Amino acid sequence: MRGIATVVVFVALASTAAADVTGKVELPPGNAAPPPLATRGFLDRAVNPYLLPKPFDHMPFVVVVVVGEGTAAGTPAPVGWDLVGESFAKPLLAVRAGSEVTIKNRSKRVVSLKAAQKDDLIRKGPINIGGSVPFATPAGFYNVSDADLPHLQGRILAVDSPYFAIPERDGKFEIKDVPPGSYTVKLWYRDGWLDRPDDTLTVPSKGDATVSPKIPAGFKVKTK
Amino acid sequence: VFWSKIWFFVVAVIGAVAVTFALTMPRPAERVHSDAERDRLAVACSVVGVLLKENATTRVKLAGTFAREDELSAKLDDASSANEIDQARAQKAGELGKRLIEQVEGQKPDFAIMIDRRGRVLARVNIDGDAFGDVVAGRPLVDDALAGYLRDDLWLINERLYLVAASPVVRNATTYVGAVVLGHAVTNDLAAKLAKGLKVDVGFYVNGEPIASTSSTPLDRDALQKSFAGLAGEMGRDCESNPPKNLRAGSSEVTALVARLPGEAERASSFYTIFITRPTAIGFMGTLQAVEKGDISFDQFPWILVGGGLVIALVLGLGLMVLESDRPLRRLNAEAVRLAKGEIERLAEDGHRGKFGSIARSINIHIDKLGRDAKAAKKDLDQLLGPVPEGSLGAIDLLGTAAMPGASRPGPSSSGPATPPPPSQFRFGDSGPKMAPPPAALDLGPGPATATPRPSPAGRPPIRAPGLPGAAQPRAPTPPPTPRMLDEDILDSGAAGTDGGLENPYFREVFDQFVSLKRSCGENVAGLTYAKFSEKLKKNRDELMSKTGCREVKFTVYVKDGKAALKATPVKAD
Repeated sequence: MRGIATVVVFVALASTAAADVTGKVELPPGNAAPPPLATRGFLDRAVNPYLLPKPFDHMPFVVVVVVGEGTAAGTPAPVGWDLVGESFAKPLLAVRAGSEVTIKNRSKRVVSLKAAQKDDLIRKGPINIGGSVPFATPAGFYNVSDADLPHLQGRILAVDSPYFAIPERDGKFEIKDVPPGSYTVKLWYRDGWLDRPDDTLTVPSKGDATVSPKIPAGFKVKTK
Repeated sequence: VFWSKIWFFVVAVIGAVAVTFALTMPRPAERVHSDAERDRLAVACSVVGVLLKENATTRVKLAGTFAREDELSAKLDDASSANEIDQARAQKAGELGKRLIEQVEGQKPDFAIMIDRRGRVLARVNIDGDAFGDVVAGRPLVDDALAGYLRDDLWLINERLYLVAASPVVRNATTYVGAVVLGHAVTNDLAAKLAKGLKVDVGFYVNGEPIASTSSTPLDRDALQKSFAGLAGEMGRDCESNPPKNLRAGSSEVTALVARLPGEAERASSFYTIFITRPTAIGFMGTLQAVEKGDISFDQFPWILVGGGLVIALVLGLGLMVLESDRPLRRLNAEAVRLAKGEIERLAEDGHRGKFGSIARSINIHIDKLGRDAKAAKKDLDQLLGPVPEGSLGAIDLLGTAAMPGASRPGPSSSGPATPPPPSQFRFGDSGPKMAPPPAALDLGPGPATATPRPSPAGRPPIRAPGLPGAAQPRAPTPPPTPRMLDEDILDSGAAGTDGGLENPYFREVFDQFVSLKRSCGENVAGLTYAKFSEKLKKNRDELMSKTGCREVKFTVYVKDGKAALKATPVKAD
């Protein structure tokens, strides 16, 4: 009897065995391009003559997604997304499809947000200062904006896979508790999947897996 | 007058062409003027665009000047390391900002925002109630400034449009510690400065609503929005790439060019417009009124050509009139005078051309007709009275008129009584006594004028019918007297020479004169009695009166072909 119990525990432990996937997103070489120009005034922006501009941080707009076979179990956890001042705290929010996202207005103005791809994604109406609005996120990509604040732009990427991460400024990322198996690593940048060969990843039953996806030059994304 | 007509036609055509030209010419000129105005509008629009860029350059430089203030960079560095922006930090930074604004010479910013490296507002000056602590990172201008770029933008704050400029703030030339944003409101003064010297109006609009303008009259909102929506091509080249539109501004018609404003304001449908009052069609009179003294100077206007043309036209016209009208008319007139004077009997038809020849022919035809009528009248008279037989008492020529002074005024000279010329010899223009119409023109052959007149016996006064007015007085034209002849049978008839049983003193007087004249002519008067004579006279008088309807008949004794003759003349009542 004791032997049987030992086997069951072993099998259970084996089935729940998972590893962390770590890695570093590598930017294309010679990436000294200025940040994308959101708007332009009467003049072209000029480089500060007294100090070189800061390198643009692309990583807040990158999502590393590990896609495996089968479907993920469990209910997605709710996610908060703060609106601070004239922008969202995170310019790109990555969530698991079906997650409940709650936007909290921490700015000093009333906003009315709308998702361009899905009109009814966010409840219509103003969000008062300090107020919040929750909504479920089907799989997909959504641009969230306020018609009166054209500079206010937020992005939500809802993926089926629960294994994803937004890299740090240096490109490093960590995705915890990835079950052993074979996976594909995809990169999302701003508004689409990067047009690159997907990386393959095999998560062992023991130890961690490492992958270093590379961003192609030009940050070209797939049109579809 | 063929060539005169041609000339008048040519002159009329030239006049019509000139009038058409005068009425038409203003239109091309107006079109050219309108095109020139449109070009001027496009140029002005581009100039305003350039001025706005220059203005942006100045503002960006000013932001850079702000950013180089050590005190500002120190405060931003300090704030960036703090977890929260507190009131004290904000207040001190605000005071610094106000001081810096006051130090600006010229175009002072309307507001300033100081932002730490984390994108938080350290202090606001003159905007949003000087609020602080909120995050403004996310706005493209702020993000770029925090990243180390200088640039400008247009912000819409509280329904006001601001030209903003930002500069990164560097600490010790090694570290970015934040950014400073300066804003200048778009005002009517700015619009006036931009429009200065361009002679156009400038307006700034957001979502079709006027923000600032040099004109107090708003433009048609819908038309403006339509023009804005129709803008195409690269922004910054709207002035060159898009045609001007005709709009209304109140009761005025204007031509406007619309150009998009860049930056964040572009998404709020912001634009500026350059507009001018549309040139109106001034037409011919307006063109005349617009003529200046210099326009009609000898340097500008071909007076010699116009004057020469006028003289040539006049000379040609007058010459043709003289050749084709005046001279032929004078020639015809002269010939008509000669005809009237009797120097010629007919007009020379071949000597006159065209209509003048026709006139001459018409006159000649009428002269011929008169001759024919006279012959016909003589024939009628012969039929009435019969031919004068040989050896008769003498022909009684009944022709003549009572209105002929000569007929009633027997002249004492040997030429006999002053009788009018026979009708057949009447000439136009005769200044003699007035002739009675047509019958006087009858040509009956030898008449009193051609007969050898003899003095009336004893110089007696002319014999007048009773009640006749003085023959010397002009009389109204009498109806055509019917010519009559009295033959000797009539005179020889033995009817009593009474009138109603009484002796007619007039007939007696005529009888006496007749007998006297016959004797003086050596004629036999045997058998000539008063009774017969008066009877015939009476018969003849009555017959003549019934024929002609005259009131009286006058008998005149005269010599014809050496024999005494008697002439009966019907006398019409006055």
